[in-house]
Formats: sequence, structure tokens, C-alpha cells
Amino acid sequence: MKNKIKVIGISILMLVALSGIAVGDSVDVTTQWIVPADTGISASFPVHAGEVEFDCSGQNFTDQGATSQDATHPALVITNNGNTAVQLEAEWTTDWPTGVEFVNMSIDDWSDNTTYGDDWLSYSDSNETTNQTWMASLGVGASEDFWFWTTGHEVAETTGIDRTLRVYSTNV
Amino acid sequence: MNKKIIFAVVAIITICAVATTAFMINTNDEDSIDVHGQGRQSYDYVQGATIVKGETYEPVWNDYTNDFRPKYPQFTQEQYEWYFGELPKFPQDFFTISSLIYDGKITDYARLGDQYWKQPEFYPAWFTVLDNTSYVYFDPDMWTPEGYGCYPSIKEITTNAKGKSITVDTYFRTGFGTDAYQGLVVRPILPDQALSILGTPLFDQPSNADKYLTVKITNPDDPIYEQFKDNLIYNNVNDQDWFTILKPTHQILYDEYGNKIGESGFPEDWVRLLTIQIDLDKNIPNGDYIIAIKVDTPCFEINQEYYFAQDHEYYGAWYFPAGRYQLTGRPHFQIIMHVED
Repeated sequence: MKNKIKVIGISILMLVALSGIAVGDSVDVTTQWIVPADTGISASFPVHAGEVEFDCSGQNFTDQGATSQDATHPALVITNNGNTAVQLEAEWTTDWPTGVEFVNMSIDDWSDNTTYGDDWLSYSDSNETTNQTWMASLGVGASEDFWFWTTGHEVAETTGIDRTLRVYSTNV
Repeated sequence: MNKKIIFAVVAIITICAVATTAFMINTNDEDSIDVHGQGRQSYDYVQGATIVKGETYEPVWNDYTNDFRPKYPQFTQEQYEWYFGELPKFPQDFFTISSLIYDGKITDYARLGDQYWKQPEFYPAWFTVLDNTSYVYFDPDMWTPEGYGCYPSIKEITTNAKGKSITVDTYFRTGFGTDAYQGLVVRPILPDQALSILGTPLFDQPSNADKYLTVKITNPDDPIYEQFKDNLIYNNVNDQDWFTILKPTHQILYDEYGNKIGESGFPEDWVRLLTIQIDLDKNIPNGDYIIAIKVDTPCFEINQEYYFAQDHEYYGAWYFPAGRYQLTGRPHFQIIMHVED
């Protein structure tokens, strides 16, 4: 019985090998062009944070800063690991919970916890799922810092709500 | 005799000075490159965007690493051991080969040995990133759980393999300075349109492409995933999908008291040669088709298994379900395939 199994095994292996040779002999594949662009951005956070998180103590909050961010530690850093400059855009993939009114973000410039830097933009509960351009061009190997604040009123109490902020990078 | 000694010393000093100068000179005469290949280019893939070259150096022996890796003035010998200690030896002809790639004289990347494509210097952004925040001036209060990409990003091929299978490769790698073990689902797809690197549509996929093409990723297997895949009920994956852990490329190591004891850098398998098998139906019409690679976050069940996968290698808090934040305006990798008789 053992010998029989072995013979069948060898037969199958030979068939596979033969079919491999047949395919390899008759196929032409020509690589005509290669675009040597290297894609990829990376996302960095303050240690112990894997996302931009707001710890709100009640149902009402105004300019609540993202957890762990401070003047020297942005809530999010994006680095361009590729070999072309990229434009950064972002949107939330689903609507926010009722009551969340704004998420404001400051780019490259922390001022303090309630006023934003010169370069900032805002998502509201009417456009949170609309793509907005964060940066027109982030150079090769360059990084950019982002800080976040949120405002909401009568937000339903919850133990935690996740909303995905999706960052798009496009070569420019 | 004294004159001979003086002459010898002067000669040695001169040779050392010339050699030192030579290896510090960046031999690039241009900063950017065009797409390249043989035959015809069917579409304008770049559309004016600038693709930056990696830097090239004259080969000089590096006593820190006992190979020809460039001696970056920012790194100590200890850092060299931390960051590059697990990588293949750096070949003397590395920058000759990388120049041939930049100039389009080598296009068959799959034939390159891993002593080339596993070096961070193979990927052009390295020369900027190493001076940025990832290795030299990194902030220990920040961490980078997500970062990955493909190189190259587009391949245009021609084939007559009707009724047969072909394979196409790209390099899939962790981003520089990434701290986490990233869990990812890598999906081969047949997108509706081919896109330039600016995201501009180039042509539409034939409407019945899925009738004639079957695509899957065949290399490499993830041994940890292979051990638990048959015991799971999936909620968002298909047989063609591929799971992987991309390993970190930089971590600060601490002892049990929180004191820094060192750093780690590039593991031997921080880059994977990603192989896509394309099965062509024997009746596939001639024409232009698009196959692409899409990256997603693993489902809950997969993530849970990876969190538990500590018997194989310690992941624990270092595991990160990646694919959540990053999405390029086009797929990470596109194959533009001309099918002809």
C-alpha cells in the first residue's frame, strides 16, 4: 500500500513537472515598460496611539484636542516614502455620530489648544465624507505634521465610536 | 630611506583623500528619470510628474559593515549593526546595477539577487528619509505603525499566452522607520480603468475581462497565516487574497525598567518579491487589460489570530492592522497587459 501511494505521488509530480515545461516553452512575455515610481506613505502617531482619538468627558465639547497631541507631538505625521511628490487628501469613510459638528485640523503649525495655525482646514457634519486636499505637494522623503480638534453638542454617550479617516496620496 | 618613507606616507594620505572624496560624491548627473523599457510605450503613465532617482556612490570598502555599503557620516558603527546587520552584504557593483535600473537598461527585476533589492539604498526615498525623522533625528515619543509600498508601480507587458499562465513581479516593502508588525490583505483585482501615476484614466478595462482572466498572488506564502487559515470563517476575503505581516524597519528596544538598550533596523525579509500569476483563457480577445494590486485591512478574525501569534514571533502590542489610513489615488501596482496572437 505504501509503495502504491509513493508511485502515485511520483506520477503526479512528473505530470506537474512536464506541464510546467510545456507552458514555459511556449509563452512569450515581453516587459515593455516599467514606471520606476515607488509608492508609499507612512503614518506616525504619538507613542501608545494608533489613531487620532478624542477623549471627550461629556456630551458637549468645544475644541477638544486629540489625545496625546501637544506643541511638539502632532496627532498625525505623514511621510512620503516614495520617489515622487504626492498630494494628500482625506475624508471620513462614514458619517460622524449625531451631534459632532466640526473637526478642525492645523497643518505644520501648532498655535495652542484653541486657536489654529495659519494653515488649517475644517470638516463639518455636512461634508465629513467629502475629500479635502491637505497638501498640494509633499516632497520625496518629506514629512508633514497635523493636529486635530473637535466640537460637538448633545452627542450621544458612548464608550467609543470609530470613524475611519482615509488619507489618499496621489503623485503630482 | 627617509625620503622613501616620506614619499610613501604622502602617497597614502593622497590616496585616502581621493578615495574619501570619491565616495562622498554623488555621481548622479540628473535628479529625475523617465519611464523606460523596450519597444513602444502605449500610454503616458507619468504625465509630467517627476520621478526622483536614488543616489549613487563610488564603491568604497566600509570597515563598519565589511562590505561596500556607503559610509553615512550620520551613523555610528553601532547604528550600522542595528540597522543593517541582518541584510545581505552590500555588493561592490550595487550602484552600477541601480544606475542601470534608473536608466532603463535592466527591466527584469525578478532576476536581481536579493543582495540588491533588499538594501534600503535600492529605494530612492531612503537617501532623504535617513536624514529626516526615521533614523537620525527620530522622536522617541512618536511611533510609525503604518507604512508600505510597491516598487515599481506600473509594468507594461505584451504576451501571447492564451490558454496559459504568466507571472509578473513587484517588490512589496515596509516603509522606512516603521515600528509595527503590519497585518495586510493584498488583493489582485481587475480594475475598471488603468490610471497614470497622477490618477488620470488611461483606458477602460474590457467589460468582460473577468471572464477571460484569473489572477492570484503566488509568492511568497506567509507561514503564520498558513497555519491558521483553515480554521477561520472569513467575512471579507477570497481565496485569491494574500495575507502578510510586514516586519518593522526601526524599533527602539527597552529593558524591563524602561531603559533604552538599543535599536533594531531592517530584518532580512523587510521586502517581499510579490508574484502575481495571471491565467489567460484560451479564447481571450486581443486587446489591453489591467491587473492591479489593492491593499486592505484584514478582517477582525485575521487580526485576532495575528495578535495571538506570539508563539512564532512576538507581535503583541506591536501588531497593527494596517491599510486603514493609506490609500493611493491609484492601485499600488498596475500591470498593463497587451494580449496578442
